[in-house]
Formats: sequence, C-alpha cells, structure tokens
Amino acid sequence: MLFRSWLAFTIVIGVVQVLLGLLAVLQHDAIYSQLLRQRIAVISQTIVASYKPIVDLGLPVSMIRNGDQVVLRARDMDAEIGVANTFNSSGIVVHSTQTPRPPSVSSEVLRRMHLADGTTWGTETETEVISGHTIQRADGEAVAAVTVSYPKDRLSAASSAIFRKMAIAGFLIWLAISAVAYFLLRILLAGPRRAIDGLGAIGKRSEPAEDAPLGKGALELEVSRLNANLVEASRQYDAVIKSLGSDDLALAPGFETSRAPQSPERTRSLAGVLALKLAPVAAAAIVVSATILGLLVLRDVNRSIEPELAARANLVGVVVSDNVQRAIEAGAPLDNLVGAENYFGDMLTQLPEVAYVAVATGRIVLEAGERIDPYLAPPRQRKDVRSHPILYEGEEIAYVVIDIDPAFIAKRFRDVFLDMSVVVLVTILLAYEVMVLLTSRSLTASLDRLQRLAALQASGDFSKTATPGHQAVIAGLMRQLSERSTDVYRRLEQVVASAGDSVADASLEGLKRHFGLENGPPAPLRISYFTDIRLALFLFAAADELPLAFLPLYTRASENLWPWLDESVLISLPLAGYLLAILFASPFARGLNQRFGLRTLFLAAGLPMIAAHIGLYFAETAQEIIFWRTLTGIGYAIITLACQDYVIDTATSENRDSVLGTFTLVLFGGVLAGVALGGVLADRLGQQNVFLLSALLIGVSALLSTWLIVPGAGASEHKGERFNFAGILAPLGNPRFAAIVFGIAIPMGVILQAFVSYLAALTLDDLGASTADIGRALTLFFLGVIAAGPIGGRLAAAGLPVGPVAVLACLASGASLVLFGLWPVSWALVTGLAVSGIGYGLARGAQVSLVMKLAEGELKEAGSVAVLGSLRTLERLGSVMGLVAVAAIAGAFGYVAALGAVAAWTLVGAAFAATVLLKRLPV
Amino acid sequence: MGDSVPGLRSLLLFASMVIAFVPSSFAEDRRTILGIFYEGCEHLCEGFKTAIADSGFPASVVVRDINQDKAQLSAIVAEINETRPDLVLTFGTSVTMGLIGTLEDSRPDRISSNIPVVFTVVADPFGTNIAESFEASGRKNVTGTFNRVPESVNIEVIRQYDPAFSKLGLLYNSNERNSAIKKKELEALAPTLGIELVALELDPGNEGAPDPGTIPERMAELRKKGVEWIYLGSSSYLRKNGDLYTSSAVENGIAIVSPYESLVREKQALLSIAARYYDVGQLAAGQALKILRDGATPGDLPIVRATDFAYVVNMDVARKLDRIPPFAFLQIAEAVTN
Repeated sequence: MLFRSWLAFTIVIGVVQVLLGLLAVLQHDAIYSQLLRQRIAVISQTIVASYKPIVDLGLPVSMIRNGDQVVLRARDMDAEIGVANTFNSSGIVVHSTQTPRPPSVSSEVLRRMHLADGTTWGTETETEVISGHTIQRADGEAVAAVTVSYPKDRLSAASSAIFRKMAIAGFLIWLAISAVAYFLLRILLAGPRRAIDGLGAIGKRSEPAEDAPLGKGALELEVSRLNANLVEASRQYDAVIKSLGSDDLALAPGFETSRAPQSPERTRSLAGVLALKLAPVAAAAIVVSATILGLLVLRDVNRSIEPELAARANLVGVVVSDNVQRAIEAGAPLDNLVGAENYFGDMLTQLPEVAYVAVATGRIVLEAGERIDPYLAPPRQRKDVRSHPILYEGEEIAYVVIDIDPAFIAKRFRDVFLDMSVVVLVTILLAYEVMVLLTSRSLTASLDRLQRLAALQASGDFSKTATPGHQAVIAGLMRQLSERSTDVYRRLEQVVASAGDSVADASLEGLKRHFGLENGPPAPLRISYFTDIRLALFLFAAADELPLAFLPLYTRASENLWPWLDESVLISLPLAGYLLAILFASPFARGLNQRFGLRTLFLAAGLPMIAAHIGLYFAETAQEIIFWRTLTGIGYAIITLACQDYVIDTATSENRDSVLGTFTLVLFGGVLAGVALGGVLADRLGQQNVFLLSALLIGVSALLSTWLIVPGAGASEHKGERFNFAGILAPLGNPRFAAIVFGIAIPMGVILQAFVSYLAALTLDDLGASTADIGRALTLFFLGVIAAGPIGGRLAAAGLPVGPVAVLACLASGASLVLFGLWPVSWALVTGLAVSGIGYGLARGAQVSLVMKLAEGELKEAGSVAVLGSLRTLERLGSVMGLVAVAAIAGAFGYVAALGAVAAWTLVGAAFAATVLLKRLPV
Repeated sequence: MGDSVPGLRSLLLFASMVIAFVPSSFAEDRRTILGIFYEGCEHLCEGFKTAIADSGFPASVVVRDINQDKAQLSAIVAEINETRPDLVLTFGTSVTMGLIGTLEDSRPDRISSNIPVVFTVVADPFGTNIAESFEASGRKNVTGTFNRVPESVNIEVIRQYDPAFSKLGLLYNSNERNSAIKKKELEALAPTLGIELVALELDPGNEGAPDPGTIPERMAELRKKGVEWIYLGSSSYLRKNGDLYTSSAVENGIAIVSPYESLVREKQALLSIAARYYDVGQLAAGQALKILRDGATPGDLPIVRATDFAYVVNMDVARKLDRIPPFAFLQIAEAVTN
C-alpha cells in the first residue's frame, strides 16, 4: 500500500515537473519572442516614420528614391538585424537591405499584415523573428509595410538555457518531494496499513477474526465494518458449503436469517476515508512541487527577459540619437529642429515603457513625454544620465536622455508572474486529476471492490467475483472471496447435475436465486466511479477550449466563399454554429447515454470530434471552419452532458450536490486549462497545430474512457424513455421548475454567454486593458467557478438547503455586476467577473440537483430524461437569446447599459426564483 | 621556321578578315535613334545614351538640340520624314507636340506615323492629348515615359513643410502652351485644396519670349501680395532662367517648390519632389530597346512611369529663408547645398 501510494505520488510529481517545465519553457519563449519583436518594432516603427511624409502625400512607397538607404538604417541601429524589407500592400518588396532585392514577402507575412488589428504585428519563421509595421495613409488605408527580421539565435539560446535549468531544478524537486512524500505517506498510512495488514492476517488464516479491534477514527470504524462483513461472508460461505454438501437441500438456518441489506453507499466509505486521508498530502505535494518550480521559473524568466527590456530602452536611445544626428547632418541647427518634439511625442505613444525622451547639451534642447521623478526611477535609468551621444563632425554636441517608466517595467514583470501563475494553476489542476485517477485505480478502487464483495457475500449473494488488483493483502482477500463465489457456483451445479429430476425445479431455482446465481456463473463486479471519467472529462474540455482564443482570427485569415457576408458576421459563425449545435444536441444527451452507455457514447462522439479537429487543421475556407466547429459543438454537448448524467447516475441522492459540484470543478478546470493555454500554445506551436493537439487530447480522453469506464455504465433499462422536442415546455407547468429555469438557469447562462464571453472582454478593451489582461480577468471567472463548484456541494452536504444557495448565488452575481454601473472602472468589472464566477459555480450544480429532485418527486411522471433535457434546452435557448438581446442593447445603448441589463435580468430572476422556491419547495 | 611563316601569314589574314567583317556586319544592322532636345543634351539625354550603350544593342544616338527655338521643328519633321531614323526620342511638351501633334490632328507637318516615337518629360501627356492613357498611347507608333507627381502632391508637400501655407504664387508665360495649361490646372485645383492661387503673367502683351528683366519685378509683386511659396514648373523658359528666377525669389523671401530637381540642386529653389532626369532617360532607353531590339509595337507598350522620386531640399536656401524643414522631413529628404 505504501509503495503503491508513493509510486502514484512520485509519478504525479514527475508529471507536475515535466508539464510545468515544458509549459514554462513555452511561456518563456512566447514572452521572449514577444519582447524581441517589440524591440525590433522600434526599428520598423522608425523606418515607417521616415516614409510617413511621402505616404501622406498619397505617393506609393515604391516611388521613394532613397528607400533602400532608409531600410539600411535598420542595420546602423542594430547590427544583428537580419533583413529589413519595405513592401507594398500586395506584398511586392520595393526596398530591401538584401541584394538582390527579394521579389515579394512570404504569404504568411502578408497575411499577418492584412489580419493585424493595429499597425504593429509580427510573426516567426524557423530561423527568424519578424516584426512588422503597417504604413497607413492619413485616411487609415494600409498602403505598405516594413518588416525587420532578427535571427532566432538569441531566443533559442535563452530557451535552451531555461530548459536546462528547468530540467535540473525539476529533477531535484522531484527527488526531494518524492522523498518527503514517502516519509509523510509512511506516517499517514501507518494506521491503514496496520488495519489492512490485520485483515491480511485474517485472510491468511482463512478465518476472519471476530474480535477485530475497534478504534475511534472513521478509518478504524470502516475497517472494523469490513472485518465484520468478512467474518459474516465466511460464515455464509461455510453455511452454504455445509448445506450443499448435505443431502438436504433445505437452506441452513444460519444464512437465511442473516441476510442483512447492505447499503452500497455505506460500503464505499473505506475507500473514501483513505482518499480523504491522502488528498491533503497529494494536494500539498502537487502544490508545493509546482510552486517551488514555478518560483524558480519566475526568477529565471525574469532574469532571462531583463536584458531584452534593457536592450529595447537602449535601442530607443539609439533611434533618437540617430534621427537627431541625421537632421543635424542635413544642416538643421540643433536648437531649431522644427517639429522634433511632436515627432518624438508620436514615437512615445508606441513605446509605453519610455516615459520621457530629451536631447540635451547641458540644457534640454528638445523633449517629449513626462519626466519621471528621479527618486522613483531605478538608479541606472536616472535622468540626465548620458546614454547616447549625438556627434557632429566627430565631436559630441549633445546627448539623449531617456526616462524609463518604472511602473511599466514593474507591470511587465507582474504580467510574467501572472502568466506563470496561470501555468502553475493549470499544471496543478491537471496533476490533481491524474493523482485522483492513479490513487483510485491503484488503491481505493480495489479496497472498495473488496468491501462491496464482502458485503455481498455477507448477505449471501455469491453472484460476483472481482479482479484482485495489485495490493497484496487486499488482492489475497479478493481472490479468496472470488474463489468462494466460483466454488459456490460449481458446487451448486454439481448438486443440480447429481440431483437430476429428483428435486423440484422450483426449489433449485430458488436456491440459485438466493445465491444470486440464477443467470449463470458469477460475473465480475463492476462499479462505476466518478473518478473514472474525471481525467477524460478534464482533457476533453481542455481540448475543446484550446482553439477558442484564436478561432475568430483563424476564420478571418481563411478564404471566404461568401464574399457578400460581412467579415464580423463571418467570424462569429463558427461560434454561432457551435452554440446552435449544443442547443440542438443537448436534449438528446441523456437519451443517448441511457441507450448506449457513456463508454460507447464517449467513443462514438469522440471519433467525429477528432475528425472535426483534423478537418479544422486542413480547413482552408471559413465555411469549412464553420462546418467543423459546428460538428464539435454536437460532440461537446453529448459528451459533457453524458458525463454529467453519468455523475448523476453514479451519485446517490445524498451526495449528488457534492458530486455535481466536483463535476463543475473538473469540467471548468478543463475549460480554464484550455482557455489559458490555447494562446501560448498557438503562439509557440502554430495555430493549425493546436487543432492537432486538440484531436490528440480528445483521442487520449476517448481511450481513457474506453479503458476506465465500466462497459454499459450510464445505460439504463428503461430505454422507452425518450426525449421529444414537444416535451420541452411540458415541465414548465410546474412553477418550481419554471422558477429554476427562468430565475436561475437562464440568468446564469446569460452571465456566461453574454457577460463573460462577450461583454466583459469588450468593456475591458474599451477601458484600455491589454489582451493579456483581458485573458487573465476572464480566467478569474473560471477560477471562481472551479473554486465554488465543490464548495456548493459541501454546503449542501453540510445540510444547507440547495435552493437558497442557488438563489443567493444568483443574487450575488447580479449585484456584483451592479458594481460596474456605480464605478465604471476595471476593478469593478474584474470583481464582477470573480463574484459571478463563484455564483455560477454555486448555481450550476444546484440547479441540476434541484431539477433532479423535482424529476424524482413532483415531475416523476415526465421522467428525468425529459426534465433534464427540458432544463438544458431552455437554459441554452435562453442564453443564446439573451446573448442576442444583450448584443443589441450594447449596440444601441453601449456596454454599460448592456451590463445593466444582464445585472437586472439576474436580480429579477433571482427574486422570482426566491419567491417561488423558498416559499414552496421544502428544501 | 620557313613553315611557320605561311602559317602566321594565314593567321593574320584570317584575323584581318574577322576585323574587317565585324564592323561591316554591325554597320549593316546598326540602328539610328534621333533625339530631339529642347535645350542641349543634359541629364536625361545622358541617361538615355548610357543605357543604350550599356545594353550592347548596336544603335547610335544622334542628338538634335533646338535650343528653345520651336521654329526649327518643322524642318526637323521634314528631315525625319526623309531620313527615316529607326526611332525618334522627344524631350518636353513643345518638342513632342511639334513633332507628333495631338491624337486628333493628322496634319501633314507631323512626322510619318510609321516612325516609332518615344516621348519624355511631357508634363501632362493626357491633358495635352498627346496620349490616351497610361495603358497605351492610342497611336500605333507612339509610346513614352511619365515622370511627374500630380500637382496636388506638390501643393501638399508645401503644406507638410509649412502648415500655415495658404497662398500659392505662380508666374506664367502665356506664350508657352505648357505654362498656360499649368496655370489653368492650378486655378482649378487650388480651391479644392483650400488654397488661394496668385498667378501673374510674366510679360503681358509680349508675343515673343518674355523679357527676363520682368522676373524680379513680378517676384516683388508676389511678395507684396503676401505670397510665401511659389510653384515653378511646366515652363522651359522659366527653367532656362532658373538662376535669376530662384535668386530673386529668395531675395523676396519666397520659397520655390518645383518638379525640376536641378533647380533645387543647382539653383536656389527650396524644394522638389521629382524623379531624376537621368533615371527618366534610362526608362526611355528601356522603351526604345523594347521597340528596336525586342520588336514590340510602340502603341502596345504602356507609358512607363518613373518610380524613384525624391524629396530634395536645399538647406542653404532653407537657412537663408529661415525655413528649416520639419524634423520628419529630414528623415527622408535628400538635403543638398549649393
């Protein structure tokens, strides 16, 4: 037991180190490459500024006679520059540092230029990082662009350095944490080991001891229960053998009376107790190992990028001095540089980290920007430090002063910290899922099976056997119990054969029925656990969300077969198709699950999902993307909802809230991982390859499901229960159902679809937040969801009524959105995201649980398929309609009004739900 | 040794035959290009000749300079129709107009329509109806080059340089067709660009070439009318008198913007955005080679545009006028001094 637990821990810590190390290197490379691009963007920007007067006249850049000299300046500013090209809007190179001049730029560069939202953009090739800057005419039309490429050597070197450091640090952390885990587990598992070894001793004697010690803890209690069951099972077996051995086939009195019903829920608690004991250590091992490596990564990444930040500031100095020197060499007097302050002022708007630029001779000749208080500035950037001399005829006649904004630099490092935190978080989430699976498969599941088998035999049921598993003592006991089942069957068969016709069939059948063997030999015991699907569900959700961040851009970049369609509409179509597919597929999920079982369904829906992602990989037109993405919507709806149904089915009505909460945690954990990693993976692997990665992850999750899910799990006998669309509205006749749908489910759906997926990003963008900031703010919502999901379940388990929890969650979410109406600033919106995330997490499990209660009670006639199908369809229909309505309000009255509408909707909904549910539902 | 003498002799004989044969074979195929220039063989002419020579194509360029005397043109037409050169190169609107006329006229005093013509430095070949469009001249035997930026660009350049600019001065010579056309064009253009055009006739009432002595007078007059920028272009006469013209402008504190780059480089115009005439000559040579060497029909060739334009600013003049170019300008402009 100790070794297996330790092995599982060691594997998981290894997974943490490898995954975090790899993701950290990818993240580092993404940051570094971005900084490199930003640095050389200073050069492309200054070249563009040179072209600007010509372009503003409406002349093509190709008409500039000294264009080649202009691009050659790139080399003067940084000798390491690869190639600088100026090309027109059709990609023809008109000026270049290269001789002979290349005829045109690559189609990828041209594509990037046309797709860029702003004037600055970039891309990468195998060997170069390319920074591009579009040249716009005064009317905003893009007429040309400048690209400056930089060899990737620096990036590769920095990346290898980080990789080496990660590998060494990860290996050492792995060794250390694994060793610590061993000792911790040794202490923690000492009790359980003794208890189970005690069972082993009983097993070896083939006779369970009647006097197993009773301790005070839950574990001891469960062990003693198991022990009692084992004793009873032995007694039953002995009695059976005895009676089958005798001529009299009447049942021995002993076992007839002792058939005590064993609640299968109760028997699971030994595994539960053990898992509960291991969970904190597992969580600690994962969090600690991830945090240590995360902190090391942070330190190393900061060290790695620091020179890049300094190099960019230095380059700004070079550019300023170069530009001023050119003007002076042309014959302009230093103290009469007409329009230079505006020129540098414009330049600074694109260089957020440079607060102030000046040219000084001892006094300031010209300046732009705001000076930084010298006491705030870092010492080496203290004002009036001569950075770049301006020479005239070999003599220094002036110098450049640059003030770097320390707040900006601090923000840059904070961004790195937050980026790394997200990576650490995702690693922790995934590692935890792996840990849960490994612990369950290697330890708790076999213990659970033993408990169940013992309980069955204790009640005289010999219909099951079990695969022994690996844990020696437990395996021994299980083998013994399984052998008894087989033995009972064999003996029974012998009796039947030897009895011939002399014994009444009815009596024999009764005997078989009594042992649970009327349908043939004992069958393997199969138990469905939620843990069986957790990792598969997590990976599946992550795979589905990975392309989300770049899908609109990817659609825009592809060929459009419908030129009459507006581009903004076109790029929303993959999402629209996806949502519609979910809307239409949702009601069928439960029916399909009951018909085929989750395992078959996972595979059946997984294969077209893989095909759809491969289709997306090869897609060349927007229409293909729309088609394939719509197909993934069908798969997503069926698989996630079938998983939810599986959870509902494996749960008991007592622990349903808690399990649904955990389901939310796992599903949204996967969503969060996908959303958080999609961007960085697309940046480092290429957008197209992310689709392949998604296909791969879906393949892995389908395999995991085939391997782990018990065949037929989820399938139900009452196959007559089918969903039909006409039945969607039927349950609404029940006021409580209506209150849940309109008061909780739809408002929370609107929060997710309209607020989180649409309004929040646009509003934050409006407030000037960067894409990365927006991404992180949205992450906060999902974090709220995954944090609150299990808490909701715990609250319910602790006896808090589910109805009020859901209503309060809904109220809190609505109220948090009102904040922004009162203070229309970023923090208010971010708070709204966090609070509504928590609200969503609490309400999500609660609404399903409430509806299931209704389906088992007041709406029993309709059946769970119809009721759940109705909830899901109405929720999604409401969300989509809400999204359209909110978009319309935003278009007509602005984002604040739209946010107000979402808030009002949620609050009114919650009030409605409160009046109906709290008054009448005995929760 | 005795054997080697006849051997050497035969070798020499062979060599002399080769030498004798080569020029005669070239002489047979050598083409003649007749270039008709308005005033001497300058940058464009040099560019043309160099490009033809560099191409290795056997062609002789014969230069005919009319020295601003349009009266000579009819004799030249007659000579061309008689000697039938392989190609005629024309320089400037006046020369081109005199030799081939407009699209519509088919007067007998034009050169024969089966002699290929390449025109250059025609300020507005479409406005003057010398050619139909950039795609093709509209005449089987004619093609050409184009080397100007639109006048609106010249005006915008001033505005970029001097945001307070609102009044453009122009001295024109109504005896010169080009100059008169330019005045009309600017009159129409100025209001659309939100500026006022102050146009003065150089020597009103004089039917012949204007008296250069009127240039300083007119310049002072413009000054009085509050003009700070004048446009100098589309007038061979003014270009010829560029020295006097630009110096008297500077004396009056007036800056000159001109499509004639040489006036900035060599005289005292402040600013020019133009293609180099040398480059235009090379473009014209390209057109000529396409016709003579590659067998293209002139009418099928597009009118090629000069591509390499430059801002040229005379810094000495800028300092004299106390109008230092804007900083952004200096990042792209070619600064020259006299």
